Amino acid sequence: MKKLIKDIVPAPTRRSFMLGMMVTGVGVVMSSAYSQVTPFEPVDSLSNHSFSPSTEIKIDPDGTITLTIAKSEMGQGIRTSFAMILAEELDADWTKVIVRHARPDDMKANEHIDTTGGSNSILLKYDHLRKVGATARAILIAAAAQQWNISPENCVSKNSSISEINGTRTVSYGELTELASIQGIPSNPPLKSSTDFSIIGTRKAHIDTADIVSGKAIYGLDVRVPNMKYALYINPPAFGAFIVSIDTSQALKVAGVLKVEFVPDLGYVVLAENTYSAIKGREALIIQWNTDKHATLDSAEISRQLQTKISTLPTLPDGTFSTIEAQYELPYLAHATMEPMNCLADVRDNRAEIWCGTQVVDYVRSESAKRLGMPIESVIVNVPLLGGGFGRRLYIDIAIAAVLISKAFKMPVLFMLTRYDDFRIDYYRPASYHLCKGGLDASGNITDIIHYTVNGDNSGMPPYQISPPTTSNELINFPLPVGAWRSVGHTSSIFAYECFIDELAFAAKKDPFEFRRAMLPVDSRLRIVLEKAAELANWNSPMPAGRGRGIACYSWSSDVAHVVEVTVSSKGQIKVDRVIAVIDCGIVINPMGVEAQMQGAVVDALSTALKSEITIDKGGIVQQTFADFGWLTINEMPKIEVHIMPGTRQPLGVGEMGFPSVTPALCNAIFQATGKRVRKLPIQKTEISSVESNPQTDFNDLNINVFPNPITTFCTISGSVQTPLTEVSISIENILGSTIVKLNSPLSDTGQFEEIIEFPLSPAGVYFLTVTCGESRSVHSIIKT
Amino acid sequence: MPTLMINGQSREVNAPPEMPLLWALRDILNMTGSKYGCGVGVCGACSVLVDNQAVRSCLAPISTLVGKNITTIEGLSTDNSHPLQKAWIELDVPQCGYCQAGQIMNAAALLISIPKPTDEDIDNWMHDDVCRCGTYQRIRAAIHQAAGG
Repeated sequence: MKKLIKDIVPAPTRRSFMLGMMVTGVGVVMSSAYSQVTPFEPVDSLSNHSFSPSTEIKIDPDGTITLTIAKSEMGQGIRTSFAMILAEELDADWTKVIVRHARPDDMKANEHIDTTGGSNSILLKYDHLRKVGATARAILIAAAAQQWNISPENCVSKNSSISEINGTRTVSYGELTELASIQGIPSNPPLKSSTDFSIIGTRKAHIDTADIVSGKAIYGLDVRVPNMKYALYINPPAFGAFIVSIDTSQALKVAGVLKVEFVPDLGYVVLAENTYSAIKGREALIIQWNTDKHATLDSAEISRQLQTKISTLPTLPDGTFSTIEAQYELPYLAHATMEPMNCLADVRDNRAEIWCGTQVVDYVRSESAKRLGMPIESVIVNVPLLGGGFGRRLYIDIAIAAVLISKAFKMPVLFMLTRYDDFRIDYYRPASYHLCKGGLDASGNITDIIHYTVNGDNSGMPPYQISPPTTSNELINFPLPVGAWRSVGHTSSIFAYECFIDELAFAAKKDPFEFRRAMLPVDSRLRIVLEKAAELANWNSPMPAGRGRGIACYSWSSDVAHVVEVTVSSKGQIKVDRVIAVIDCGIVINPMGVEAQMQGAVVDALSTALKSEITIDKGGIVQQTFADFGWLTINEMPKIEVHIMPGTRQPLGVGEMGFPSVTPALCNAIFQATGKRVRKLPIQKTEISSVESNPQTDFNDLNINVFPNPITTFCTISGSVQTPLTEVSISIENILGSTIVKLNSPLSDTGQFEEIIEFPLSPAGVYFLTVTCGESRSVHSIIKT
Repeated sequence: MPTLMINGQSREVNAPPEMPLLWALRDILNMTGSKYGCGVGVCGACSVLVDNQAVRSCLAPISTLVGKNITTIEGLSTDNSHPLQKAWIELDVPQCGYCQAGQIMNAAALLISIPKPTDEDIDNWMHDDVCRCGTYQRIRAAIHQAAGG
């Protein structure tokens, strides 16, 4: 169950300031072995005569301000927003700010690099960062006052310089570094009033954007050190599989392959001069696997076990006017970070250096040290940019594997997962099953909600003023490891709750927006956010036939509401037309960053609602790449409108908050458009309207056969048509209207055609076959398994 | 040892001829701007220009590229002055940024082929490029902006 971590932020300690007060240039405990080729130098080696009052801030004589951020950047913009908070209170010239990632060996006593996760970075660090920035500014003002022999009260800071009030003298921060370094430390430096903010609340491009668009940004897979090698792991084809025999002779003949060996505590690894050789070497292995352990496990079996395990729901009290029940089911999901998981490790006899895009820097360090039997100080962890996280990089399996491989081969090794591997080695969002029961009184008010789940979550219902839901959580351990995936349990609980609330509203014959609003406390932030979403959607305006509008809301840390508008065609294709996303996240640090997170969460939620899933067959993962995992593409995008409420309360989390209410709002919209409830994800596995039994044929002279249907890999499409034309055109579209097959088929003299089609790599579900010949057109739904 | 013309420079590549360009760039030439996303041509993160056409470098053996002009993200401009790079920065398109080099190179090929693309042109051209973070709306806006509105 997710809990909001309360904001308990220690002020910067006097000790941490004292240690940083020395003019830098002092030796560091360890220096990077490869500082000439990587951007990961310890901060203290960068220049002398700087002013560095804390771990976070260093000002050079040339005015460059280096901000050290102890959070991992995976696209959420944390480097930018942390830098904005520091720069705001420091009154820094934003154009002189550069940002680097903290390394564990930067950190002073009692400091550590926090986990990056839970959407709590700003929430937990806002006050701390402001105090750090304000303290540095107060010291610089004291230095200027000393230089001019005036009172600090007569000095004012702005844009990296200090001016004399009622005077003409100004001095830049860069010119004050030495004098600032010998000042005392103010115990309670004044913080700015939010009305004086000039950086916080402004639109700032991510600090890494220029490097990203020039190809200079360094992600984990991009780190290069001298003499490094490349390693791939030999993936079992199924959970619990083990190697019966392995013939490495052909693999070792592949150019560039160095070794194929068993690495203790890990498994077989191919070591090569480059990634391509490692891939080809692995392909050349002849391996006999034993896959007996979970040979009969597949997605249908998992679904059956989930449904069997769930307890019978209790009956509602006498006097309940009407009772509604519904079942919801969600699939496993992979994190599918755009940059596959990887780690570069260089383990030597008495020290190790690691480059790893991780959300848990200190944990990678401590666990590596433990595995290597080294003191923690002997392990350096460098953190490059993370090509997506979504929770996957909270787990250290890949880092530890890299450390073990480098230790075994005694050389620097970049260990990576291929995309294929990445779908197989993960801590998946669990598949879950949910049973909901609700009672209404004669006026259509909710009397009870019961929410039982197996392997799901039932926490986090929006704060409706009704009795708390009766819940039960059962757990079945399947061989798939499960873990945190963006929004964690609330991906399942909010889907179930906010779809079920919609079902109760319908049963109560009430408008789904008004039904929710009436249950939210007057003047509560969620109610205001919900009202805003409805207002922006023009909620009460009628929708034409075939179109629908759905609403849902969510409150955890921030308050969020979504309205989704869809068009569903008569054959059951869905077009998501528009998504309105409203968030109240308190004080907004960077509106551009919040918009990006809210837009991205919509894409994430629509992809996983409509198409994506991880399925199991014969005990192994089926999906191989993005094509069959099923990610939303640009042509399938709705128009997303993000509205950020002006906020004055403490800044709250954003990264995960934009996800949970999208999925139910979409399903509720499909119901409004079609009268059909979708209770199982992904949506494309449900036939929204069955055209299979009643093909839509504009002219009945076109006869089509599809065999087999359902389709596994191949199908034969054949038919006949009376026409003087010489060919028919065949196309297959997915549920969102994207064309995945398009070809022309020649007609015989008697008007016959036949094509054997290999179905492209794509997720299981409903697809639409259209055969066109001149004015004639025939549409069939086909099922891919 | 194939010689390739990359970003206007002649480069000897010490690699077998069948090695896909992506790995030659990344592991042999240390040009890591082109990204590995899938290795099978379905995500687009590795896209480069070959004679001004978008090519998935993960699928293109270097032997097929001899005598052709290859442009990678590093060679699109030396100073982020390409209209797409400028638009990408102004609209702050990237989130994690990992797919963006590929998105930009595909968009560059689009603008060479269709200087003023419509939304439909963008859909047809860019629909095979995966962005896991979901930056599509800003990608579309940035392409329009780079094309001059």
